Amino acid sequence: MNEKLYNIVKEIYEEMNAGRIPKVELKSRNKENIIFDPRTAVWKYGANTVKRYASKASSARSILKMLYIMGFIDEMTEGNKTSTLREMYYISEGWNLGKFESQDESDLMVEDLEVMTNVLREEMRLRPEESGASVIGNLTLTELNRKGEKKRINCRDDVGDAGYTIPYNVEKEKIEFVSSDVDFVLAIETGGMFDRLVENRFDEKMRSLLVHIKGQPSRSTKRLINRLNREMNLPIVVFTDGDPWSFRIYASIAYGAIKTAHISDILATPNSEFVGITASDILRYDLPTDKLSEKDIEALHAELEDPRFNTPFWKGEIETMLKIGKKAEQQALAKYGLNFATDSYLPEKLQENGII
Amino acid sequence: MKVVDLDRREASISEFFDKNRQMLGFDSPQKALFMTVKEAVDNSLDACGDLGILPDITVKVTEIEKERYGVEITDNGPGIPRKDVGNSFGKMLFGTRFFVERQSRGQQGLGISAAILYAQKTTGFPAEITTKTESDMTAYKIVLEIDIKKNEPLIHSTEPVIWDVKSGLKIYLVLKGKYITGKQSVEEYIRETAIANPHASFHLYLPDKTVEIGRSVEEISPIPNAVKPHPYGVELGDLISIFREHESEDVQHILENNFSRMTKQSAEEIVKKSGLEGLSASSLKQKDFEILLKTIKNTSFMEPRKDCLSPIGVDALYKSAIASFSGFNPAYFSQPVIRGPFVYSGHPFLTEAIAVYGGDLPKEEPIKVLRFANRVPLLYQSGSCAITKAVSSLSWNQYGFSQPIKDQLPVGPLVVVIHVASTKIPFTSEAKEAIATVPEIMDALDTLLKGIARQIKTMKKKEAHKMQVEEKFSLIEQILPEIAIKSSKILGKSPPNIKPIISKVMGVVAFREIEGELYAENFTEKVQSFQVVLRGEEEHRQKVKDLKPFQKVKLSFSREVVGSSEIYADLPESILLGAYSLPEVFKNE
Repeated sequence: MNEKLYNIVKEIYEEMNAGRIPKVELKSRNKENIIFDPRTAVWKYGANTVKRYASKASSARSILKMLYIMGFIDEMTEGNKTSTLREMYYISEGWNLGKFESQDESDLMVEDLEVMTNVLREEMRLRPEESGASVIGNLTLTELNRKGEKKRINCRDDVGDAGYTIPYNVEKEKIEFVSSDVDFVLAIETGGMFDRLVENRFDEKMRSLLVHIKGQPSRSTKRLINRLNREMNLPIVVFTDGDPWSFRIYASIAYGAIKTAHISDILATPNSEFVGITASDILRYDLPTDKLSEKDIEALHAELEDPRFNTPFWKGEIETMLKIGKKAEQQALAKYGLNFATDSYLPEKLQENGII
Repeated sequence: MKVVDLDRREASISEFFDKNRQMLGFDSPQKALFMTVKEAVDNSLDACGDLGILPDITVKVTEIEKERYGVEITDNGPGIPRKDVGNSFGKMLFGTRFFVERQSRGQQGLGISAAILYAQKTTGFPAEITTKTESDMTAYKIVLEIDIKKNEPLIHSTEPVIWDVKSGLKIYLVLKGKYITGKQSVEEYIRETAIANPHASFHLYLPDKTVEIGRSVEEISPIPNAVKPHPYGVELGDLISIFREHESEDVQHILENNFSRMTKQSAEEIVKKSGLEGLSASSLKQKDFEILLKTIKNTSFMEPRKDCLSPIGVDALYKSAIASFSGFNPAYFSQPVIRGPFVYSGHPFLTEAIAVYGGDLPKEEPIKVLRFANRVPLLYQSGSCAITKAVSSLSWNQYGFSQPIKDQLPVGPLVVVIHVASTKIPFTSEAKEAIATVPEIMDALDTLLKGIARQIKTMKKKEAHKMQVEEKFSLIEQILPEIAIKSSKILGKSPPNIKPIISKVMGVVAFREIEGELYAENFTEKVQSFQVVLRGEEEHRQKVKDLKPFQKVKLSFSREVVGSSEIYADLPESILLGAYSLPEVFKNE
């Protein structure tokens, strides 16, 4: 098991041995302690911490639960196993006083452990339920598979049309990049558009790596995008629908999210570009639209207050969208034919953003 | 007994009944069945009460065919002489009054005749009444109906039957009805009646079940005294009726003899002021009565006598609540509270209540309010009743209950039993289903309820404290040891000694009950010597010498003393925990 996790257990044990009341120290989850760092342009935890002393039954109970989780991780490490967060929650049924009331509670405690130790959930052998996203394009990598072999995969030639599936752990011990021959990474929100681009061989024609992010991207997808940007120096371009929720998908890829503020450094890619549908695009291309719902309007107003959208570009686009009261999907581009997205829209937008 | 309301005597009784079905409570088959049982049971309880007999009442409801039920109520009361049966049951005595005031269950005479008439009209069956008095050698069964035109009993047969009891009365009716369970059912009525009449026992044979309710007290509460009406409580109609009954006497004498608190001087003064000197009652006109009444109301009198009220009483109410609600395993029974007697418009009244809290009572539902007027449960019209309104208007938030909507019942595991007793309950209507919001009664109910709610609040505080203490013991006895074991196991080391941590966390000498005995346990790091004092109705002391850290000592107080006392000890720091109080329920074990 990771040494940082061991150290927490050791500290608890030694405090008790010395006759002191054991405690754990956590970053404060208070809203005020999650700050948007303008320098690095990501959400981060502030300096405030809270100490939980075992002199209170409720705190002692969470310390015990934490110990059970670490015991469990220790066992998994021994047996070279992993578990989903849900599996762990069910396993906790047998943990006496360390039993969790809900999966929310156990998920949160895993996050607490991440925040305390800077050890990623993936390294703790815990993974979420949903599967990862897919990748197509000329990237070669090695993946350490379940047999312990480093398998070499080219994400264009060695995979079918569904692409290479991103595993839950994309850290270096699992995935190493070998080489790439692309100019940029295109992260695509919807499956329909991803398949369109694959069919139109956009990856080859535009020398790009296509990543299907499946709506709000999972941690591993964000982490992979972050690594491609940092290690392979590839520009990241995000292509989404034109509505407030899609703007948030872009923001979470670029600047991180409050829930993962403790690992923004490795998840967020602040220099990502946006080539999704904007309000201006709706007007410029005269795209088929839907009316904004009340929730959409509420979300847009909230975004006007969100530091991540505090740029003239976003303020202008959000205000325009509110003014026209309309939103549009990626697929709306099909109004001008099946090749319009790949032959006209994307090249134009990429050029405007200086990617090509 | 004399029928004095002359205005109505000529009216067709059948017509009267049909017009006033709702007023009399017979407006639906479901309610008719309920009313029939209620009228008979109320009569039985009154009859037993008059003679100081502990009531033993059997109620049988059998389904004969769809919407047709046989109802039989049997009591162990004094019975009725067979010659009086006709007049007692076969006559609608509407408009009749006794000119004495007395705390009694129902209106005299009208209820049961209404039930007989209803049965007769809906099924054609006559009433069967079996009576046995102590002086008769045998019982008699009388079959009768009401002659609707003449408003007189029409007796079909009278025959001796064998009924081996000292005395008693049995009434059997066949009526159109509808049997329901749950709210406003016969069963609920009897169960609630048993709460307000803990000296009675009931045997219920219903179409779907049998219920036995034993008596929880063996003493009969004193029979309320009958008193003459207080002048302030008299209305014009009453006044006229009283004078009609004494037509030959003079005004001053009638006043003197028929009202309580009416002295010779005040009667003289009233006659003088009203200009009726020397007149006899027969010569008075409507206008004279109006002047007379006005004068009476402007004269001052002593307050009405209050010894004519009979509360259920503190002891009986407490025992009754325990007997009725122990099935819910409640955490707490409040002490019963009595407020009064007070007076409204010349009528004395008093209020009493008890509350039952916690256990298996529903936590997410509005609290349950059981209303009683002169020991009769009120199951209908709760929204317009003074009792419900008084409960709703209390701000329960102050007492630790959530009251989502202002002036509505709060939510929580609570039952409040509230009884209003009076020589004249101010009902909102003739159906006698709800008490009117008379200001004096509302005030009395308000202080009554505050007295109850305060107790619950104190108890909840104690409960919270107990929870804290339990948490603390769970911490030192379960959680900390498990932390020690788990952490050492992960590290592959031997478990640490956690005693120093426990004394840090506790730092006290703790008192708590283990298997019915009280123990003092030293959780400090020092040897402790101290004196324990239990302060309740009596004071008990015990010295403890040289109690070493992590040692405990059994104290020699009895379980009963521990449960009813506060605990003190002459130790320097904060030293005591209170995991020692026993639930009130077990006090009487």
